[in-house]
Amino acid sequence: MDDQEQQQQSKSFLWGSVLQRDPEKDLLTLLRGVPIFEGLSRSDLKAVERILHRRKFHAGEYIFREGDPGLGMYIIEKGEVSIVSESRSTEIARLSKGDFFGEMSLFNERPRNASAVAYEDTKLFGFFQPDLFGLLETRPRIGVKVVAKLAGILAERLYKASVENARLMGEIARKDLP
Amino acid sequence: MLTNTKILIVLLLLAVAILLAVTVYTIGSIVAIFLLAMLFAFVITPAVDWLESHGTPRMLASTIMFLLSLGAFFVVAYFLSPLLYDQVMVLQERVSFGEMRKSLPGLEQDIVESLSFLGVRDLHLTTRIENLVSTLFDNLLNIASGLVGLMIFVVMTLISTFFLLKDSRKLKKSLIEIVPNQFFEMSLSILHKIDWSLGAYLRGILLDAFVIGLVTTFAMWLLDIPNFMLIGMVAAFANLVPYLGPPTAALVASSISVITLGTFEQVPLILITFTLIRLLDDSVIQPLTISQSVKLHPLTIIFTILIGGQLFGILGMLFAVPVAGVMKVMAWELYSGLKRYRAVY
Repeated sequence: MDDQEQQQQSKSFLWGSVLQRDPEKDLLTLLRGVPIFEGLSRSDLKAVERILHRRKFHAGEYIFREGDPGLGMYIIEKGEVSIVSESRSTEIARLSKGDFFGEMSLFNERPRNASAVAYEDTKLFGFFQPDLFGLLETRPRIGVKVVAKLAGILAERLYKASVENARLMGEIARKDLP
Repeated sequence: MLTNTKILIVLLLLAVAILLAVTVYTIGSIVAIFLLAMLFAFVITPAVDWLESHGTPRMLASTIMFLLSLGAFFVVAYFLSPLLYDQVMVLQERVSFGEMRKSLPGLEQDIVESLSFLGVRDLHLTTRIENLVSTLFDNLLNIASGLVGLMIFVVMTLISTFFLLKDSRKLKKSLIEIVPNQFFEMSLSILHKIDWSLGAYLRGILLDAFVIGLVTTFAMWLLDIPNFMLIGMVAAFANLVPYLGPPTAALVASSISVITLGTFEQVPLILITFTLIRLLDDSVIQPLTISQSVKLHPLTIIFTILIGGQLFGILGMLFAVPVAGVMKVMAWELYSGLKRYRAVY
């Protein structure tokens, strides 16, 4: 347990419910900030929270490795995560609280195209394909909302990728001209 | 070349296998309660999920489906058991006192004459069948005397089934929580795939056995074979054992017919009917009911049945093959999962 957590515990012991933060409220606020859970009601978010997996990673620990079959996405509750390309030995992105990564794997088990490493001691929520399918089966109303949001995010990315692709193709064509 | 991880995995799997074997051997009945509860939960879970998908809370959905299944079982047992009991009693009476005693010497004479070229002279059929029947009824009495134990077994199985229905997801989540980060995604994926494949396999073979039981009962009733319900039940249970099950059921049906009527008259008809039911099962029923089939080599099946019989008697023989099927599904999903995550090559 880190110092901050210990301090928080002793504070809550001393001041009881007066100063105690409501971890459930914090969690629901965190989830509400994740685009794929936008628009879900409090009870919907609670249903989602029940299927999430809470994991702790130490600094430098791999969350997943490039080339592993993807199973789902992670939401950062606390700490920072580095997204690293092993093949190019570069850091692609540094993510922090409220950010999420690996969402493409919710739809297929294609190999991960980068590794995720805990930059510092990190707490994450994992949301995985079997749980998404379970949600679609048992709570289809919530499941469909989540899938629709995911589809929106992926469509947006596809649009940006195709615009970028067109721009690059144009550049190549201009360079090829004599 | 074997890496340390691979050696560790192989050793871990061996340790799990040995632990399982020891557990089954020492606390077999407790393991049986858990396995039966899991089986029932696998069968009822889709109905609970369906209710939950229509807005019923999990707890209520589990309670409703559990009570409905229990109710359906008692209703069927209430209506069928007197009929089945009558059929068993009639069979016992005929074996002990009735027409069989008169007809058996004639039958024995026929058989001895047909097999005279093999040097067969005396089969002692009457004594042998009476001994067999008395052993069977002695066993039934032993079961009845262990009624208290049986009641505890049934109650514990029902309670376990209910909690597995209600909390299976929580249990899986708690189980996966203790897995180290390094193996977390791999374990979650394997656990999910095992869960899915096992459910499909178990629901498939049980539904197939149920349909075969119904079809056989109906066919035997149409052919006016005595004890049609008993034969249907035997056929349903025997269907759990591939290759050997269906011929055994046909043999039991033929024996009942011969014992009851005292002639071989109906035997060809029974054999033809069982062959047709087999064809129907292979071509229509199985493709509709079984989505996840498990192929086991005939030799594996024979040895599995022998081991099942040695450990748990007749029930062990009956459920040995489905248990082997379950183990094969688990081992296969485990292996392909480890392979996907490059833990084995």
